[in-house]
Formats: sequence, structure tokens, C-alpha cells
Amino acid sequence: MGMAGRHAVRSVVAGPLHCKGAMVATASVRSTCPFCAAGCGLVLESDGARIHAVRPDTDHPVSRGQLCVKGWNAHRALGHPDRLTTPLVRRGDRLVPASWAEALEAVVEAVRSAQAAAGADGIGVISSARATNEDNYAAMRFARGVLGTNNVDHCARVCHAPSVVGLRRTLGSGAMTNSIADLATADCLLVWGSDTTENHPIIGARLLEAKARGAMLIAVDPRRTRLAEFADLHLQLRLGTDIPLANAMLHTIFAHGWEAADYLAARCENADAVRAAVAGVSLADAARTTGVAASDIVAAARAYATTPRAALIYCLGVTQHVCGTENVIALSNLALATGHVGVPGAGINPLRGQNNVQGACDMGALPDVLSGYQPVSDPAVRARFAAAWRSGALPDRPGLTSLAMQHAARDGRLRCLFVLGEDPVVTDPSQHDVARAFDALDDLVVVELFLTETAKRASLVLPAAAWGEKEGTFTSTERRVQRVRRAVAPPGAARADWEILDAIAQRLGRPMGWTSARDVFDEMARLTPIYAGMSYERLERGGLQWPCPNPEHPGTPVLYVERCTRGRGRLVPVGDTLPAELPDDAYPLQLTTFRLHHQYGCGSMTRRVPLLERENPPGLLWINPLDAGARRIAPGAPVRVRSRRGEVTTRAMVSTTVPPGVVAMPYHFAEAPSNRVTNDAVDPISRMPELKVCAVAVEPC
Amino acid sequence: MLTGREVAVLPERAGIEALRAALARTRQLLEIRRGDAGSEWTAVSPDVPFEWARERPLGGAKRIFCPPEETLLVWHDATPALAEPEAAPVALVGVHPCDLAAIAYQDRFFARDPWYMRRRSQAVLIGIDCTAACAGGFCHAVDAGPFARDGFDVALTPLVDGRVIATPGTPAGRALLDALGLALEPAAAALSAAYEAARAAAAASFPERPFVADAIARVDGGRVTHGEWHALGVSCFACTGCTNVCPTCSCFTVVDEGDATAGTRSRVWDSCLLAGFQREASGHTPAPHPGDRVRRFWSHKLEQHFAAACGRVGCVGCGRCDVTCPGAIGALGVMARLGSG
Repeated sequence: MGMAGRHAVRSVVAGPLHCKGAMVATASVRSTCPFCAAGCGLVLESDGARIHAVRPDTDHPVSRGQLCVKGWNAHRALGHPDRLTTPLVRRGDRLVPASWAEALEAVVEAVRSAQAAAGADGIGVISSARATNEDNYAAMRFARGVLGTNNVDHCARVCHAPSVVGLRRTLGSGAMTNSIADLATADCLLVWGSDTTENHPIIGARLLEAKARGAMLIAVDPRRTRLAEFADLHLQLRLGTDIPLANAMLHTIFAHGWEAADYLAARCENADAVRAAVAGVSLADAARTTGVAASDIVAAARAYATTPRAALIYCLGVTQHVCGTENVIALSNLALATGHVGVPGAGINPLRGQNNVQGACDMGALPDVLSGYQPVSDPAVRARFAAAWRSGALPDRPGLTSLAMQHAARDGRLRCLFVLGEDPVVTDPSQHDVARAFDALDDLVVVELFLTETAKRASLVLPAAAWGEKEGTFTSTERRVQRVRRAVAPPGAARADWEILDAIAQRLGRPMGWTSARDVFDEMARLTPIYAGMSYERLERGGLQWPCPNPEHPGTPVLYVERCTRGRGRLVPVGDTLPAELPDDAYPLQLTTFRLHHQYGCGSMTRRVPLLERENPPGLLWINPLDAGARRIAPGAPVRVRSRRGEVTTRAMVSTTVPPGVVAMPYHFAEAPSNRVTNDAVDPISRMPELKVCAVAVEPC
Repeated sequence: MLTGREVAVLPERAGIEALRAALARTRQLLEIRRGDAGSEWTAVSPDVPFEWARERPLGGAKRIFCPPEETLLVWHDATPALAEPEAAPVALVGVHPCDLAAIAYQDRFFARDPWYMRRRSQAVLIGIDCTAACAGGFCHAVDAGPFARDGFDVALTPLVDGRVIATPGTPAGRALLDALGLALEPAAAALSAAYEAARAAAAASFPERPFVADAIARVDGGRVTHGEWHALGVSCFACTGCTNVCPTCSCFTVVDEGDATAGTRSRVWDSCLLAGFQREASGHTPAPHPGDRVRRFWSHKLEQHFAAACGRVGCVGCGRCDVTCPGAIGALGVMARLGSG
């Protein structure tokens, strides 16, 4: 399986080339793309000091020589002059450069003083879905084994928290059941609230492959996305009417006897309650509510239910609602009723957002579970970890979520916070409250690549190594654990998160005892049953999909073939919930949010790439020609978008990709932040804010 | 056609080792090797035997002469200085005919570009004819292979009996063969016949793709409708993969970093499939829709009238775009949709 551990210069190379003009790469290093959770394979070409190009990995099992424009430019933010190269310590209102020794001593001081003032739970750790598994495992061990608190969390809460909660109730765990390559073999694709070709382009490519092969493609989206252009059926539902649509489909399936009766009997529970709950659904009412023709609802229900290899794929169009968890359950009901869970070419497939959000969850960077979703409440689990870590008893009660940590900081219960590779001041709802929470802390320790808004408020800033500068692993949305590799050295004194945390732990007298990322991975695998069969050697080519319980296990491309994690799949009746805010005379339009293919998240990396920045459209408000005409808004004209919470100004993109009555904004742009107008009403079950629908007024300005 | 050309004959394939050893005395050998990170042009030692099975690398030889990014200008204390590339003498051994055609195409484009020419002038190109079609290649349909016509210093043609015909294409190539003590003689009739047989066998190994000629004729004749281009445009993800891997694409943009006191000016590969590629300051762009950009790209690759300025049509039939395109609209993907037969 390849040449373990040696990726830089191959034996056939005669020696360093005497040319700086990049005649050929002196080192080509295989790695994994740091953007979306598709986990595409790429090769970093460097001269040893600087990565000068990315090329696609033609052997990669998922991406097969393809990348999106972000992947092709993935290296360009790494060597950026804005990178942090030295620790910074606060002196009054300034952050001044310091040695590692000084900075680490200050961290130890901060930890001791917070513990003295508020006990072990007076400290919290926020880890990063962008960082490696090794970094996330280190963060969770640091919190639990070194600091003695379960206050550890990361950003998964604002993307797929409803999936984690909803699918845990119905199936037992919240991961994608099938594989990306497997989706290309489906005969029917039901794609719900996912602009796949823009946000997970290479997964989108596999969906189009299935379509070209003859699969029926059904796109459920309020916008006319690229996928909708290809679709056999585009169910252009009104914003926030996902449950009425799913329930009408389920009603149709039961009414026609298209359900998988044997599967329901053998593998599911509570089906009769759901059958009864949807029995009274009126298709005519559903058509009126959703705006989708009754005939299209029936056609979609028939195709999805009666095709054996029918895959359901969904994303944030489903989760970012006040009824996000119930939306997920409604889709899970559809998949279970039709017997599509545990079947190749089918399954229920939430597409995770960030490169390693799956891994950050797997590693236990969550307040209630250790790695592999082993609950902190289980004494046997705690004992096993405590013995391995030689740490003494571990805390047994779930810790605080990241938002709860902010509340605790404002209350004075939390005195010191570690933030690794996240920028909550910018990305979390209600910027003012976040800043107030951070300012109330005795110490804010930030581990970062750049001096972010959060880092600017820190008492200590520690410079981190980025993905092309360290060894490690990412876990993609299809549960595929893959290597990331060091192509160049980190800038200046920057180090990997796990190294920094171990250095702090050593000074606290509780060393974690690692000398390499491989050490961290091996320890994690020993303690984590779903990763137990993995090692860097086995991940060398193409990676492995969890669960992989032993060194002979080939990994698991399809989950739940025999049974679900919770045993039987559970169907749960869900009723209609309207969006928290509906249009009225004052705010007559509905606003939804989306993403652009060439930007990523808050843009901290992609917005530093000139070629990607140049792709930004001239305006950021998509509006239908009818709505634009009624307001005398010409294409490209300046507009003001107002909601009850705030307003932004931008320019109009007059387009039929949004229907009349709906406007849409991408969320990457600090200069026109859509989150100034979006609704902060949350799903009561998962605490997900309703970012996908609110009421606004739009006027020329 | 060998008729009338002076050629040398290596009695067996191992004869290439003497050629490599001779080249390596004054140059770094670059060859295609399948390494840990896929197939790529790699610096090699002549002590490691040549590999005749050369997989077409996705990256290609383009990046050797026209790298993905390079610094053109550096300034300190507001004083600018041109960045001069240091280029060592190299020999590329085993260039495929499609890439030879592409390098010749880029040589014309960059003829007055000092950075490109600095590197290019230091390179000797040893081509090797392809005796069988590669997966996804269609060089024969665009007159770029499977046997090389020109663009090489020396072209090697492996025959089935193990002999290798060495054809010099430049005075430097001729000097190289002379230095090896190989006799250069006009090709005898029997040798010409063996060469033609090998060429015919190679040509016959390509799968039947009648839609290719039909699609090229339609694009060249301007007979593809607006609607057809726009339908193809929906499949363009604007990933820039096609232009990055295309061996004849040469468009770049210029990026300045730093400030008025100190900084660098670099050029970076650009892509005409990007919306911003040709957008003017006013916001106007001559190719506003993805379909317009897809049409422009394929017009530049397939229309004959560009051959007058560029020496040949822009597509060399290597098929790399079909590998890297997530929308399945690489060359064969497009032609299968536009052509009939």
C-alpha cells in the first residue's frame, strides 16, 4: 500500500534542482482539501519552502482527478503575509510578541487562577471543525483529562445540530449513511435543500453522473438551483414548508401502498402512529401550502418510494429552521417508510459542511461525549479513558455548549476560555453579546492562523500551523478518515494545535506524552471503537470509512445494512410548524440565505485569494424581475434590505432563480452581512437558528 | 512520413540508456514517473532505467515552462527589479506527441516572453511516439498524434521488433545523435514500411468515435446553436480545471502583493471559464453567461481559423479535460453531445 511515511522526495530524484523557476516540483505531497466535507484528494507541489500549486489526485476514490475552484486554489492562503508567526501576549490595550516560554507560562498562570476562582468548570475549550482529528482529540483530552472539565464544544451547532439530534432519535447516529461514490449508483435521487453543485461540487458531480446514467433526479428547493435545471422534477416549495411536503409525500406513499411493508415490520417501530398521523393529509391543502402541484407531489412520492436504489440527500435547507429537527425527522420517516436505509445506492445522507466537522464530532469535541460518541455519563467509559490518560477521575456531568459558555462568562462562572481556530465574534449570532461575554473573561486564549476579531480580544494569542504544514487526518462527510500531510514548515514559531496543548499540559504537570500526530491518532484509535481498526499505515491510500472496529475490517461504506445503531429505525409523527416570521405589509418579502461556489464560510481563507475574490458578483441580493420591477429596481441598482432586526445595503441581482416573493443573499460577506437581518429564532430541540427564512422589505437606495 | 528524412536506428530499446546518459552529462533528466502522488514529470537519475510505459500525467509538461505562478517583478524601497528565473539545462525524455504539439503551440504564444523562453531555451525535448491509443485520448482526430510530426529535438519510434527509430527534428537533435555515434541515413524502404505499419497500427487502436469529426465540423462551421452552448454552460462549475490541465492554455492574470515600498508582482494561471475573467470595471462582460464562456473556450480549441495565428488548432486531443471536469463537459463530453454518428 505505497511507501509509508515518505512523501517528499522520491528515490529517483537525483538531488535538488539548480533552478528556482519551478522547472518541476521538488516535492509532491498528497493531502486532503481543507474546504467542504467532500474530502477531495489533492497534491501539494512545493519547492520545499513554499507551496506553489495544487493539482488533483487522479487516484483518489472520491474526487478521481477533479476539484472545484476552491480546491484548485487551496494553497494560496497558506503562505499569506497576514499569518501569525509568534505568540502574542496582552500588555494593556496592545498584543505584543512573546517567546513560547513566556506565553506558555502566562497560559499556566491563567489556568491556575481561573481554577482557583471558579473550579475546574471555570474554564472552557472551543475546538475547530477546520482542524485535524488529532487537534480535536487533543482539545477534548486537554479539557477533560488535564483541566478536568467537560466544557468542550465546537461549531457543529449551527449547521447540522438538527441532524445529529433528529437522526440520533430515529436511527441512532447523525452521520451520512451511504458513500459519495455510492450516490452515483442510485436510480433515484431526492435532493432536499442542498445546492450540491455549488457547495459540495464534487458530490454534485456524482449526482449529475447518476442523472446522466439515467437516474431520476428530484430537486426540492425554493430556488432554481443548477441541480433544479438538471432535475426531472423540481419541487419549488415555499420557504419553510418542508414538513407539509414530506408529510404529503408520506401520505401518498401509504395511500397507494408504496411503503416497504416487510421492511417496516422487520426493522422499524412506530410506523402505525405515523401512518395514522398522515392519513388525514389533503393533497390539495398540501399543494396550496407548499406551492407544489399535487401531481408533482405524487410523482415524486412514487419515484422515490418505488425505486429500490433511491437516495435521499439533504443539507442546510432542511436544518436551518425553527423546526429543523422535525424537518430531519420528517425526511427520516420518508426514508424508513420506503425501506431505503441500509441499502446501497440509497440511504439518508446529510451533507456535512466543513472539512472536518464530522471528525470534530467523532473526536468528542462535544460537551456530553468522549471520542466515538461514548457518553461521559457512563462510568465504564470514563474509567477506560482515565486509565489510559493516568488522569484520575474524569468529570461525569455533561459540560457547557459554546453558547452556554458565553452565558457563563457573562455570569462570571466561566473565567478562562480557550478558542482554537474559530472566530465566534464574527460567526455566532448576536455579535454584541459574544463580544461582551469574551470581555467578561479573566483570560481568553486564542490559537489561530490569523489575527481574527476574536483573537484581537484575547489576552494570549498562540500561532497555529495550518493544514499544509502538519500531519494529521480529516474525516469527510461520508465518514472517510483521510490523511493530511505536511508539505512545508509552519511560518515562524507556529505549531500544531495538539503540540501547543501538550506543551501547556506539560507545564501544568500533566503531560499528554505525544511526540507526533501519529501518537495522538494511535491513542485515539485505541480508545475509540469506531476508529479502532485504523492506523496511518492503513489510511495511506484512500482512507477508511468508520465504523472500522479492527485492523482487518475494510471500513463501512453503507451504514445500518443489518440494523440501526439504536436497533430498530423509529418513525416519529411530526406536525406542521410555520416559519417564526411570515411576510406582512411592513416586511412583504421572504429572505433566504445561500452560498456561492467560489467562497467558503466567513471567507477567512477564500477571500484572501484574488482569483476567487474577482468572482464575486456585483450585487448580493437575488430578486425576481417581478419584485424588482414593482420596486423600480434595475439590475445592479443599489438596494436596502430591512428586517425587524437590522438592515444591509448591497446591489440587486435581478434573476429568475428566485421566485416572486422570495429574495436570497449569500452569507460570506462582512461588508453586507446577511446575518444582520436573519432571524435568531431557534429550533427548541437543537438550538439551531432559523437562518433560512425571515421577512424583509427591499427598496432602492 | 519518413521518406526523405535522415534517421538513426537503435537496435533495441535499451539503446535509449546511452542517449539518456549522454543527455545527463550536461542536463537534468526529466521523465514521467508514477510516484506516490500520481504520474508527473520528475527529476530522475540516468542510473534508474527508463520506463517506456508513460502514463499521460494530468499536470503535463506545461507547468515546467509556464508554472502555475511565478514572480515577475520585485520592489524594495520603491525600486523595482525584474525577477530573473534561474533555469538549468534540462532534457525532457518521453514527451508524448500531443504534448509536443502543445509545447510548439505555446512556443509561438510566449515567443517574446523572457521568463518562458529562459526556461524553454534550456530544454531538449525527446519525444516518443505512442504505439497505441491511451484512455480518453483522441490526438489522431486533431492531427496531434499518435506519432509526432515536429516540435521535438529527437523523436523515438519504437517498432514491434524492438528496434527504435530516432528522428532528429532540430540541429541540436542531430548533434546529439551524432555524438552517440549513430549513423544518420535516409530511411530505407523497409524501415519506412515498418514505421508506416507501426503508425497504422497505432491509428487503428483508437475507438470509433464518429461524433468527434462531426462535432468539430459543427463548431468550426459556427453551426452549434446558442441553445446548445447554454445547455452545456449549465454543466460548467467554473472550477478552472480544464484550463489548468489544458496543455495549450496560457492565459494568466497579474497579482500584486505588498505596498508601494516593497512588494512583488506575480502572474498566476487564469481561466476564461471564470465570470470575472473578462469583466470590465463597469461590470460589463462580453461573455456574461456560462454558455458564452464555454463556447469561447471550445471555439478557441476547435476552430480552424485560429490555426493561422497559432500554428494549429488549440486542442491536441490529450483528453485531460475529460478527466478533470466535474460537469462531464471535457472535450469528448462536449463532442458526444454536439456531434452525431
